[in-house]
Amino acid sequence: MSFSVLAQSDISDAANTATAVLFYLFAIMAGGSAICVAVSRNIVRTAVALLFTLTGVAGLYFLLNAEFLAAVQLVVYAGGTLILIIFGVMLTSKSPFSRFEAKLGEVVIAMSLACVLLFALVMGIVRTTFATDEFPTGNYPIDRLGQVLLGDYLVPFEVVSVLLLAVMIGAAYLAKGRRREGEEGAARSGSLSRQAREWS
Amino acid sequence: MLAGIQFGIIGLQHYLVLAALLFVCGLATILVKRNAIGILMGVELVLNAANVNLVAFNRFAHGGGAGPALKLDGQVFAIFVIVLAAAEAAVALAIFLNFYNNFSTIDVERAQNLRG
Amino acid sequence: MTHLLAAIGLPYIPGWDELRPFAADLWLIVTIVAVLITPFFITRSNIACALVALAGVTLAFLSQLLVRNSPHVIGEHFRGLLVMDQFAMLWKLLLLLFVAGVILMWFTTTASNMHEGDGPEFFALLLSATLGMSLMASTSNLLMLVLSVEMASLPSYVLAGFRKTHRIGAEASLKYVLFGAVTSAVMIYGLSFLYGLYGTLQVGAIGHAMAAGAIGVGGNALLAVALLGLIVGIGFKVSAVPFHFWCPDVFEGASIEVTTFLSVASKGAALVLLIRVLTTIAAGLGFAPHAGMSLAALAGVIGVMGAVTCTVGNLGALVQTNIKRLLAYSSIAHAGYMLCAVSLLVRHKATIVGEDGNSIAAQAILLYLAVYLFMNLGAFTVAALIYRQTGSEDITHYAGLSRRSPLAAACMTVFMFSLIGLPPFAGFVAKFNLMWVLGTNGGWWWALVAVIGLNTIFSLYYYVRVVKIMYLTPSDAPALNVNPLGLGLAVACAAALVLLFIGLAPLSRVTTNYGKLYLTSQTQQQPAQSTAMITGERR
Repeated sequence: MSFSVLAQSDISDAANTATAVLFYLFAIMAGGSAICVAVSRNIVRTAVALLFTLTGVAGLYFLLNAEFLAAVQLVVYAGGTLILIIFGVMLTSKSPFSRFEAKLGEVVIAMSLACVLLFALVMGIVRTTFATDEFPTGNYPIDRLGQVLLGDYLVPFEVVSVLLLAVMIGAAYLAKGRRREGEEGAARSGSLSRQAREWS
Repeated sequence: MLAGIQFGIIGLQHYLVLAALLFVCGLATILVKRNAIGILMGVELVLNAANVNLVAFNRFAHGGGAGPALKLDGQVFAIFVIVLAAAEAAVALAIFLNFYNNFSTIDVERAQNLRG
Repeated sequence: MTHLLAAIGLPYIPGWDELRPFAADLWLIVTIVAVLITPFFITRSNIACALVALAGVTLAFLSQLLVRNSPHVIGEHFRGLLVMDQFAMLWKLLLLLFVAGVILMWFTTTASNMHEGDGPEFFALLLSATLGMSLMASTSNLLMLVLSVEMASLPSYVLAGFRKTHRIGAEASLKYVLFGAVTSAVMIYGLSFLYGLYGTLQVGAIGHAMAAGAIGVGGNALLAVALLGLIVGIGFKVSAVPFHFWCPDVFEGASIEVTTFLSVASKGAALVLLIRVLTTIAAGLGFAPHAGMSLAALAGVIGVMGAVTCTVGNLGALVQTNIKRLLAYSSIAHAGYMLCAVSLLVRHKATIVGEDGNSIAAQAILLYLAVYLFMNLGAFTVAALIYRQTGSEDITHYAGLSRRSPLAAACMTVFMFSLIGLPPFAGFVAKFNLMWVLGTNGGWWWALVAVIGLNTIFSLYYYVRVVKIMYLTPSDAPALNVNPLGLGLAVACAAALVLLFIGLAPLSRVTTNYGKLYLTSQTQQQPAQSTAMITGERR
């Protein structure tokens, strides 16, 4: 992988510069579109901006020697989750270009809160000395990742399979259509149907 | 303020600052958006911020060095977070769809039958 | 075969010794699958699925009961990802007992109304959430923490909106999932800093690493962000005060057995998880004040949160007329009482009696949960029975209940008095024990005792109002023909409350014996060793 060669920041200035250029490229892509997600008032634009954020983050994973994660990010996140979200947008908005009508006061409060929080986080980050136990550069340890997933992290791996089963059942149950109970409940006697009609 | 950061050599703190930006944008999205799917997108931003943090910490701070001592805790955590995000999005969208079928909108301002 | 496995480098197959302590969780997984395949064999599957689920939960309960306190069982399992100790064992037993009660309650309430064919989904989701709550008691790793919380939450979101055509249910699940997704995302962001600062996902090792070195001003700020994230995520599940808004709405919108399930199991699991995490971290720090991490401040935050939570819960309940909303606010208040006791866990070694990690605060909370389970199950069962007959959840429709259904009214009275904490019932024991534990620690914990006492007086008003309407308000409504199974369940819960009061000694012996947390500090592991234990066995 050319990226992992570039990530060997200790070799030469050229590599450093290349890493820096790529980092800023991906960082501007991810961060800039994240800001777009926050400020855009059109839901389709928001979704597209989110796509660019996710792709930018995938690029950052390449720079961080996490190629497998980058692939997962692209396939599962950008390719799966985001498509799901766009389907959600299509199924639930009457016009594809519906706009959010956020109140100006709320926006100002949220944005100033966000700025204060960002400042505090950045101050905390730059004033902390973290450990420097670096990850090896070079060949990506995909075999080790597999061993860790089925070894040290075997239990989460199994638990998440049960979780996905439950989620699949739940989502399929909610999403599958059915006629309104108010109509069929009326045939059945009882107070429940009375309430259902009242609400529907 | 940025004395600790060298702009030319990309280190851990660059990634952390970017993740902080993603996190804050996510929170702002959650606070500002009135549309349930918009809020879900904010949640995805926050989760991505957490993942960038995890992977960057794994790369720079807790990698364990080459060879048998190699540690992948951060990356494994990030993989599981991606799976959870997908699962959460699936459940959330099914619930939004169900809400839409009942109310013909997913504007959270309209969800006021219950008094909170 | 093993040679082949060795050749492809499969590094780890858990043995029987590791699986045995978690037999209950394995049974739950088996039951989920069994419930899902039941409709392939039986046409009228709702009742069949309920019976399969009940059988599975009973088997899980029995297998958990058979797990002994042997040295093989107590300790870390699966390379430190899960912990089994007496504390987790008792929580799992209580949880499974409670879920069995909820399934019995389902027979009396929704069984005849549920759309034929929805049973498998309902019970699969119920049992998945139960599995998550059961795992929450055993997590000792940040990844397992997140996973078990999500495992408990995601099915609960769907359960809250399970009545799809019910508009209030749809709204409840929308609020629940939005709140839950946001808080869990913030929690994961916070936890990423905990990993970054200390380099491990093991909670015990994080505690040791905190003790090992200071992390500077910036690091402390990030640690505060991390702990704040943790408190947001768990506070949502407990419905502690700034994060409690979802609770009344979800409880009103969900069907009544789901409300019952969430009111005890979800909150109890979150409290148990909080106890586990905080005690493990505090043990790593040796229960001593430390530069990197101020345990006193953390205890203060949780204590204040508990005090505010129970006050807001009780004040909110004063104006409620819907029984489900009233009990929702009441459950916020009770979670607040228990949170007050959680603040003791991080205080000092005095709360840990003896060297074996036996904690009186954990014991008090377990006792409280054990009693609270019966109170809530009973109160919701009576509410469900009345709803089945009258179609109303409004307490004004309880008028004249003492004549219309004397037994149901008597049971409800027992539950209300027990929820207040009045003497002839076990609620008194639980609350008194909690206050006594807080009081013996002196200092500002007396303030918490005072807050709980004051709240008991507030709560008197709304609980007694229900009793007053049942007994003193005349009504010419016809007599209720309540479901005998449901009435039996309510009577059993009421009897349990009286019996637990009379037989306090055995109960407190059980909770004392089981109030033991496995703490890594007992073995005096250094951080390097404990990380070696997780990561070093790879080959």
